[in-house]
Amino acid sequence: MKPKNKIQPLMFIAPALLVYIATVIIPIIWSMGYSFFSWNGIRDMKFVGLENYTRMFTDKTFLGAVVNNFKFVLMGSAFQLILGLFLAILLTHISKGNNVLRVIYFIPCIISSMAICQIFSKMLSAQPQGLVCYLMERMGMEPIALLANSKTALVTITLIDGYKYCGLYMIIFYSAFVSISKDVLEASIMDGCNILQQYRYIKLPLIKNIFSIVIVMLVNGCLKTFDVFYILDNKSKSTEMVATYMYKTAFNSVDFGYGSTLAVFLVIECLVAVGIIQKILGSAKGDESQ
Amino acid sequence: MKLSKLMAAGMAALMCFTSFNAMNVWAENEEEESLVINYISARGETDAALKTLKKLAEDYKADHPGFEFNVESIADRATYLQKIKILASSDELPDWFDADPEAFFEGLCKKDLIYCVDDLYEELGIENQFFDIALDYPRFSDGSNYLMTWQGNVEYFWYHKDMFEKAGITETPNTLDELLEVCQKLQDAGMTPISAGNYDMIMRYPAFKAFRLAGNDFIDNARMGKEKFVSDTGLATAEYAQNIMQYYSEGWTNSDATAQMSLFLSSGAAMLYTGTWDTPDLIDENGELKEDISMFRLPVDTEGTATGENDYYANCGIGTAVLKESMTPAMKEFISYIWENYADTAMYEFNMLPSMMPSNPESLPELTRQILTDLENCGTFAQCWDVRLDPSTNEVYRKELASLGMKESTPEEFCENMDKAVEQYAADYFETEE
Amino acid sequence: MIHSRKNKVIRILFYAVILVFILVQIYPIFWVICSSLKTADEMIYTPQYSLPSGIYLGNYISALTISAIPRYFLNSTVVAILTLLGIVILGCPVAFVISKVRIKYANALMGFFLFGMMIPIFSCLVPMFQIYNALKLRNTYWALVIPQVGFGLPMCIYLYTGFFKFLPDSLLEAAVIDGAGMGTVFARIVVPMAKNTTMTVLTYNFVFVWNEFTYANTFISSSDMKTLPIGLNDFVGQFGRVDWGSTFAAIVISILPTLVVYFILNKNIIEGMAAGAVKS
Repeated sequence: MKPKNKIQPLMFIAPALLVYIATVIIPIIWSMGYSFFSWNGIRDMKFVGLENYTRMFTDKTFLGAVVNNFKFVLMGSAFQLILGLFLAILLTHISKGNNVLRVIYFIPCIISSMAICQIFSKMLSAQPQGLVCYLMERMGMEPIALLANSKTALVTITLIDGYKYCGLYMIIFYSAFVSISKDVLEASIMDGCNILQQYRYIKLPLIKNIFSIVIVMLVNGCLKTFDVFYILDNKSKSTEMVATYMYKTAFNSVDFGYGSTLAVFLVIECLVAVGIIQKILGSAKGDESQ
Repeated sequence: MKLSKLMAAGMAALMCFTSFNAMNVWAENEEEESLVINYISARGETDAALKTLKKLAEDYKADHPGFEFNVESIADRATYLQKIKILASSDELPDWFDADPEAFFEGLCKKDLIYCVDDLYEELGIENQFFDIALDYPRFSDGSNYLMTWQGNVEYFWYHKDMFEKAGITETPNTLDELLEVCQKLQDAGMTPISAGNYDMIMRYPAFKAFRLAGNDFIDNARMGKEKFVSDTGLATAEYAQNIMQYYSEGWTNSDATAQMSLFLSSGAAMLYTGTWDTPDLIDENGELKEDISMFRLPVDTEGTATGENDYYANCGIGTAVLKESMTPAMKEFISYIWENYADTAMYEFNMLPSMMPSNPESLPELTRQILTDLENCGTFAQCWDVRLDPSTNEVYRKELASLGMKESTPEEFCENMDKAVEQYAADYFETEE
Repeated sequence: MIHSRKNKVIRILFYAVILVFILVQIYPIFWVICSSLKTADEMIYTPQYSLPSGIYLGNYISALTISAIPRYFLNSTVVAILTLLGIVILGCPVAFVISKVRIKYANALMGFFLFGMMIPIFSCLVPMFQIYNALKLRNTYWALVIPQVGFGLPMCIYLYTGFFKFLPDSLLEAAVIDGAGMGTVFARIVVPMAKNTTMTVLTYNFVFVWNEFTYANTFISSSDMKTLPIGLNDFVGQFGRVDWGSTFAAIVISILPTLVVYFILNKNIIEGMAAGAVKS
């Protein structure tokens, strides 16, 4: 629709824009400024130009963190997407107790990360023996501390992170499924569609745009992932993420300049990733609609 | 419409709470004569030292109306340090805050923000009442001291007597090599030798051998690059650390202080290296060690004799700094009052070993007396590497140590990476000492 | 949807799978409740997966005495309500204008807002602290609400525009022809129709706002203003020793009301979300 005058749309936008600029844009620009300085919070700031950026590309810990993070994005998004979708599909086929189930699935989302991490770190501990190691032993396997072992830690944390957040995506998918009109589905049954075909040809295509939203949310979230990895830190290089490394650089090493540089990298990384996803999904959608 | 109702309720709540807020804000700009101390503490609400301070402040308040002692307690150390670092970089430090004598805090002192504690104690005339270590522990290498310390702690290897017996060990190890032998024997007997989890304690192990070979000089020089980690001492100590870390309980990189104690107490491991702050878990209701538990101090070394059996890890816990600009006569009077009553209140009311000898120690349980003696007799106390290193190198140290302990890197690699880190970062923190 | 009898086997299998998932989802909360009922000795000497020997309420007593959980709960609730309101009230009109009103630079505006999604919050912490400190906002609810609204806006606008895309223009045009202004169209037609998306936005943001730790830790000093995630740290003792019994009790106390509220609202949330999350 067309606005009556130029001022009206502005009134709709201005408050949000102001808050957004004040809370997000100004601090990030301010912070980007730090990336050209060497500053440990107490000394005077020293302008170092691009030194922090060149340092970044020779920093082995950082490069390792980028690789780990990339692995996590692939595993984590896939896991949460599939699990969320699967749970949602299960839910749509239940008539009784559906309400209770939705609450149950959502529990891990509202428990704080700290609590979830503690529960898992206790359950997965080898000494004192936690539930998982106990079960491993009973099944005749050699119990290993999954979180402490640098070979298994990344996958384990991915599962824990997925466990925590899959309920959120479950709800989004579920509400999408429920909103599909009954007529379409009944028509398809008349046409002799079985359940699998229904999903393949009707339900999933119908919620295509939800997929692209969820994928953007997932990839973006996984790239910036912090809390679970930070709390379950096993000090090894195998679970270092860009965001945890940035946090440690800024606040443990008190290197605000280099920390800001890492933040800038993270922003650019997210921009590129989301841009690529939008491009792929967007063009795919365009093809089909023609 | 539901939504509008929700919004209305929200707006009401909003208005209600903004007015409420206004009352809740700290009285930061209050310009009154009465003393107000804002203290951000790294100690938890249940910590005995903090409880003692709060109790004394409460008593003090009784005859000093208007006096306020506002404590914000942030027990999680990483969280605490993050906050302090942000406050420091914004010039918003509170009147009192906690710190270890590490490089970042040293920077604050160099900026002349903190009141010198040696001067303070001298003005109050109490410098002779403390244990030596209480004054020396927080001292920087240039000899200055900016931290009041509240506790006395000694670190021991605690062990299960029956588990040692079962493994055929008759004597506690006297030397570091014997310690390795003991571990091997325990492992051969099917037991886990060492319960490990608290990373602060794990970070002590690499210093053991170096401390025996060269005292604290090694880390003091190595952290500034004056000595290399890739030296005989450095390599030997890294190798020893790797050797002993293989006897740790499974999953130590991801464990914690509570879990390591629990594992030890339930006889899941034979030994536990920790300080006397953990004694409440190790004693019975009479204040004596539980029946099958005993302890020994850091073993000596046959090759290195720079330090001997009276030199071990002891510390005074995290210290407290007072801002220079907050040090008014009223503040001094309060601090003087605190120290007059601190030792006895801490010992007899809250059962914590204070940083000075309490009155009539004879009445205390034997274990407590033993610890007090060890505190008093401690010759050279070992320096914690994680406190001495600059913050950036320290981050590298944490990671490299985990790799070393899990045998993902060799002692040579460990030392090389430490040297590289020192070369890159140390100059930012220690250049003024040259 | 499954009617036929031949599917009975599938059905049983299907419920078995669901049961497994329920067990997995429920176990952590069950575990926390069990642990919160254990005595200190039980915590140390019995395996973590064993059941408590009795109902021991000491942890709850200490949780409620050591820390002010009800107060933290109130703070968390206030912050959550204000933040969620702020996000929706500010974000929805923007999304409407971007997707439904013909203005220049709509795409640029969208891109500008989406940029915020990419920013890791830690990178802004130091400047933010300096700003809020200068404005004397530390230790107020605003210091927690404002940044979360700011950072919540991008996702909110993203979700709303996703929905508005499918809102037929003809509907709005018809209203305009009837003489309705932009404000009326928005308030009378768009907002009610977007109820579903609003619920999605609220649910999504609630999860993150409720667990928010960083801002609360950075901007709040007074213990009266602590939120729940910060309050859970009250039980960390000296040298990192944690009083897990009390912590678990505090966790139970803090999540039960949330679960109850969610259970009651849940039907509306899903109905709201389902009513039009997708229109194709």
